[in-house]
Amino acid sequence: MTRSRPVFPFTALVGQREMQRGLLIAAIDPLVGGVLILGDRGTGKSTAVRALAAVLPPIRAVACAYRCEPRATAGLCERCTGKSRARPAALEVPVPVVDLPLGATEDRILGALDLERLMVSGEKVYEPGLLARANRGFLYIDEVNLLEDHLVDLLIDVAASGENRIERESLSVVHPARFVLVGSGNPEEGELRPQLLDRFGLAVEVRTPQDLDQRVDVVRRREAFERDPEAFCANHQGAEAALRAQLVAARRALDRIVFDDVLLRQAAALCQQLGTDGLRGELALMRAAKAAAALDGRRAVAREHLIEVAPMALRHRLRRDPLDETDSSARVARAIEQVLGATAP
Amino acid sequence: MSGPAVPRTPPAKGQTPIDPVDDALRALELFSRAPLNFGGLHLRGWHGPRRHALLGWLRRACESAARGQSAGWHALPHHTEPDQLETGTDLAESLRLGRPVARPGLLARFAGGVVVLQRAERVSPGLAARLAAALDARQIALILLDESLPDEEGPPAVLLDRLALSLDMRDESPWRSLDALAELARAPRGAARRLAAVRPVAPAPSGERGLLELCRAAMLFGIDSMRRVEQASMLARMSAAEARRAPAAGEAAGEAASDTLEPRDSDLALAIRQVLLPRARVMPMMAESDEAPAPEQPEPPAQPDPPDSPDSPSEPDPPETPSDPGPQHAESPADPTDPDPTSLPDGASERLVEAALSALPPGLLAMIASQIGARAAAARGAGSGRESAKGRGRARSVGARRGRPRGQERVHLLATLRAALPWQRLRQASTQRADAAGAGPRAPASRPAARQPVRFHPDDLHVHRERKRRGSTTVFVVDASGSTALQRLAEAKGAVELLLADCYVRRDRVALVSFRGAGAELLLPPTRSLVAARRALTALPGGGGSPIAAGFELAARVAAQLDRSGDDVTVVVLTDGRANLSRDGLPGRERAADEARRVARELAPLATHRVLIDTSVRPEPAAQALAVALAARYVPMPFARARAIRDSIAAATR
Repeated sequence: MTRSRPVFPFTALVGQREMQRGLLIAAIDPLVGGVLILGDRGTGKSTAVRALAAVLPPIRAVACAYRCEPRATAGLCERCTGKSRARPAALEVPVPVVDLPLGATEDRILGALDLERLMVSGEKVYEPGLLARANRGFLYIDEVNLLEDHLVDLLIDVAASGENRIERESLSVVHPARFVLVGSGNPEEGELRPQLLDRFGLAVEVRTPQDLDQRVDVVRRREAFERDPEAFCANHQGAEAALRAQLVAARRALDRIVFDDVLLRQAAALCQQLGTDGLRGELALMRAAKAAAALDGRRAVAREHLIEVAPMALRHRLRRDPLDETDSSARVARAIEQVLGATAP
Repeated sequence: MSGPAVPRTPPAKGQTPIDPVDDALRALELFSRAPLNFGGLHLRGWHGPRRHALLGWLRRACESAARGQSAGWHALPHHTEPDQLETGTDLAESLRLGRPVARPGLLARFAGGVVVLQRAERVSPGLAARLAAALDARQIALILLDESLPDEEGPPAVLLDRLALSLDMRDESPWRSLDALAELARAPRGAARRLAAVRPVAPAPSGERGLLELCRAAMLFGIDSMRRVEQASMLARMSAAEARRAPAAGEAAGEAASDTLEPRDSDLALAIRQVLLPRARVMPMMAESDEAPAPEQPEPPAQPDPPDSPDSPSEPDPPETPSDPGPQHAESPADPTDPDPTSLPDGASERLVEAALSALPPGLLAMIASQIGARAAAARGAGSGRESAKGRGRARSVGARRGRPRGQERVHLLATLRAALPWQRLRQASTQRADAAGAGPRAPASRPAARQPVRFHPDDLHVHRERKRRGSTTVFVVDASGSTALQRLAEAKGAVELLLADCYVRRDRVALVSFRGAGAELLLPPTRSLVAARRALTALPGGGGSPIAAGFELAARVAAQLDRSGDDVTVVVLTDGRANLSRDGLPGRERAADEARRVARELAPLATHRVLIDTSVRPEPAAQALAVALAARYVPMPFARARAIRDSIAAATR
């Protein structure tokens, strides 16, 4: 596939604030656990993910198949873990954003025996798959709600452990596979398996702008981009660079962000109020709030950050009650109002 | 949303109505200029001489437009394995030659061309996803030949959404009456040849007014996807660009000068008819007519009507675009755009839409309007149906296992090869030894090892491990007639909701058929979406007569279709059994009850499990009789005990 076509700039997206913030938060702190983007067709979900890839600052990586971190001591591939300190030289590479297409085979995702090598030399060599390529980057699944169950199972295991373990075809391989999972889909076309739903740190909702001016703006930008992608991207280069710098600064600041006790307690109360199962929701909420504060260049988490990220972090974790008509976003909003005494954005 | 709406405006204001076929062909002609710009065409209709003629014509048009370069017109079977699209190893060749041979991916071969996908309604989600990515990258244009039945799932929504044009040839009457296609079969229209000189890559962005009009029109039609507006704008701009290029319009300078292209009203009208109208979810006239009467009918801009014929290329251009609308331009042009989309401030768009539609023959519009309800229902369930295509019914390969093929099993070539390859050295060495010993009838030992074919042992054989998943679908048949509605509809809904929750947990699909008054309705085609199901249920109206037979008949159709695709069907009927309308809509309890029982007997064999819930206050003999005819488990609902009902159904279907 020729991927020479420039991608639509992230900063040129119109009126999709929640999705944009969610993606940036997930990019700042991979531990948040990825983003699930829910919305109708034609709302620019895939466009946003591809655009994010272009705006992310490059990473330093060893020139191995898994882009191991040069200075890390854990979570490396077999070759980089080796006693000999002679790792390949580190390079600056773009953050991988790997597409996992719906029809992908298990072999393609997990990796398999390298047929070519087998044929030529009879060597048994493991050929890394999509999970390997996504290490330290993003794994993007469009229409994730339509993904085959047996593929979902593969993903759930790997997403939980951060490594891909292969025991098949007389291969025995373990390699790191830590990635930020990004999924998108239209909930009207089928629900996500609850187990996979839970793996996503954030769930953002996206809809077509309802404002006429914004709609016109969306199409106009698209058309300008189609007409001359290079020129259009050049126009947004400044904004893209600024955002990149903002991301770098936010990542650096992340560990020092203060989360004061009062707010922490409120966050916990919010989760309790909503009855979200398990601690995962609470963790995601706190991490996301910190990342949001870092993104805004603040030193401490403020109430507004909590209010902003609570719907993203919690709406997909509410216990399912098919008899309750209110949608989950409304329930989160109500809880925010009760606990924090403020209205959600 | 009931009853077809017909535009208020009389169809003809002294102008001859546009012929729908001509109109569609005009759009296709523009498509042929630069197919990639349009994504492609969704063509519904059976295989036959007319479709054949149309495709032949379109192909020639593409070829003549491509001039010099090969147009590229490729057929793709619906059962193509997604991996074929990308470059990979040619297994057969590799085996033959004993060394890896690369196989170019189909997409590379198709690049820039038109790909015709036969039986597109059968395409797997995997293939659809890859094709969608190729469409997004503007690598190919796609023509989906869709032969689905009206109540069947169509092609994947992920593809449909990316195709600008849609043409329905299932109703052949307009095509026949014109007999245009016989003419087409002979030669591409003159215009196609004349205007084919240049192949525009991407026309200039649309001017402010055109975009505004199309955005508004899309909102009037209830179309939410921004892709549709982009596609409509593309068609309008292509149409405008071509008119400019036509010799009569003359000025080549105008084109070079401006950064934007302002489509004329006729271009916009064409785009509205060909891109937006086929996807309408609401008929604008309908939505508007019960609001305030359209305020200002006579408006300053003097071209309220589409041109006499959409083909006239020498249409005087409307006042040229106000120089260059920069990004901040949005607020400045004439209209102070109201941020609230529901009340469109000036009548401009309505007028344009109205004009675009009024040019069509009235019967056609009424027909489209009547289809909208059905389409909206389909849209609710269609996508969800997608996931059924995950391999429902059809066997789906989930890997390989060692073993010789038996029965219908297929050899898994890749796995077999993988098993054989590591042993090649040993095996070759052993055959060579055998050769040396003079026992081997095989090749001379001097042959270089690399050139030798791969040696297989029976042990190497792997077959596809297939999982034939019989999906499970519960069809709810809900009596929403007056007699039930008054008493128990709310309770029945409660029970159904509990069942829905169960289905969700089991990942079953559900469908919802309701009947009341004049007939039955498929409120929700088979879906796995809890959201859609709950919504359909909430919106379920009540009241009217009890046409039980009609309801069962529809349920039988749904069940038969599910059965064909390999689903286990559970039918859950909620009714008081008091039928009072027969299928032809005539009242009369005796006959209606008779008919209901007869249809019930037809429905029975189509469902694996059948349950009839009697919704009357005390057990009703009519309902019991019906349950017997349906061979269903009879569950009275004496008190509002939704949970008890759920449990008894769970027991019945276990």
